[in-house]
Amino acid sequence: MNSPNEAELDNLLNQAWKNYRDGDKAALDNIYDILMPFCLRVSSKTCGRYIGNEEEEASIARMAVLEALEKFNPAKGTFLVFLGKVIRNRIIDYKRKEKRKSIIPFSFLVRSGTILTDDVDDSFFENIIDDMARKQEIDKLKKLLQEFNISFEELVQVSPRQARTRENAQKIALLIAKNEDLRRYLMERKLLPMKDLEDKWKVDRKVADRYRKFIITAALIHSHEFFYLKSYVLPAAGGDGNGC
Amino acid sequence: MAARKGVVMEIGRDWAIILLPNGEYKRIKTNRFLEVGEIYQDRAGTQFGYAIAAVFFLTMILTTIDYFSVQAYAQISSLELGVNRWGRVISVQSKDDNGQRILDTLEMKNDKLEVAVEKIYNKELEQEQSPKESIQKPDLSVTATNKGSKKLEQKMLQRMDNGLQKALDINDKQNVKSNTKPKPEPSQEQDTLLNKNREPLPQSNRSNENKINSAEPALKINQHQRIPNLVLEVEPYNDEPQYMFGEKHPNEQGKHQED
Repeated sequence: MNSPNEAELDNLLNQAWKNYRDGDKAALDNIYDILMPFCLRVSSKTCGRYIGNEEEEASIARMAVLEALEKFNPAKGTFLVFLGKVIRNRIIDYKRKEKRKSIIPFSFLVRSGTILTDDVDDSFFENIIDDMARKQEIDKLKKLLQEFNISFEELVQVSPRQARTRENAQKIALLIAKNEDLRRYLMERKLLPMKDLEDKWKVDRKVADRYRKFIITAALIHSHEFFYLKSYVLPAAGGDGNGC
Repeated sequence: MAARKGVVMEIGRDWAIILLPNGEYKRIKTNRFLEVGEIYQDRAGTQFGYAIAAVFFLTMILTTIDYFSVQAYAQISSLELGVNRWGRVISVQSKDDNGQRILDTLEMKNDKLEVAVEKIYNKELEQEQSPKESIQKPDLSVTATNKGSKKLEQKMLQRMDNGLQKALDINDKQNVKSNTKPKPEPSQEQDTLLNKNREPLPQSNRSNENKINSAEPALKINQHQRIPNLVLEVEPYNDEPQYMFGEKHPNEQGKHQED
């Protein structure tokens, strides 16, 4: 848990919990939208398949939120991890009851993902929180890329295969993100500042042109301070952005 | 291929696009349940499992091919047997009609070389087509397809010898036990064989049998060849066979009455 927003989120949830405990039942409404995606994700991970908002497991998760709010003790850890444990336990209880009631469905045998009886520790839930924070960044990036007419599918096609070329492209991206003028040009015109790059920064035009989309994406990740994704687009040498 | 690890950027029914730590975007095929933002990691075990399976099947195929490749040709009288490295008969060819006759009645593919030699020898004896001498001592020779491998030739020859020896041994015993076909003129060799087998008997405590054998001259045994053979089979206290043939030794009669 090293996201900058993590502490903020914890505070928010703790505050809501306190209010709820003090009798303010409306406090739940404030955090409901934050909690629900987490609840669904824990349910999905526990079941090993996608759980929609309408499914039985989702309503079990909703009940678990109320139970968690009742039983939460701040001295024993963060609220989300505690909530995750409650949801997981309730879903496992539910599954066991189902299993006893009916014959085992075929899907039970081929189900992939987490096995119900697996014991999990706190990191299971912390990973889910991280995954969600990452998803937020990815969703934001996707929206940004749409303005540039770039899709992830395209990025697969244009990713430089060679490590050296990729490194060079990543250096160009970092250079753009760090330079105010270059960045503004990119954001306003939705194009790479080819001329500047070539004249002022002696960038190889061939690389910049061929891997245009790859460079733009990396530059956007740097300039928008995507906490999680940033480490993935840094040049391996940790270059300062001028040697290309 | 090394295990891949990366952030899941986009997901489809059976694929996902992941961002690898080196910045590369990669589309992967997977049936695993994934969600955007998750860290994807290749299961190293799966690839290892595939490698093991591949090695296993390759070994199977190569072994099969190797099994059916003839390493040496073994000749026994008029037959030529193709043998693999484990001494199993893979192919059989005959050089003349006699050999072909044996071939038609014998199935010896996949048999061990020893067993094949034994079978051929027994069949030859049964058919009695070839001259006696060649049956008793068939020509054995081995030629390796790879000319350098004298060791293999030696080994195969040894195995053929073993098979022949076994066939001879069994045949000897059978001759003693019961010779179902009465032979009008037993050869000198078989005659001595019979005598040889009779020799240890005096030392046994079958006193009545002993008397019969010693009392009869060698010529007479040849004429009634079945009698001594059958007598050998008789249990110590059972004298039935002697009556069966209705031919009793005058001395013998008195002895039975005594018993």
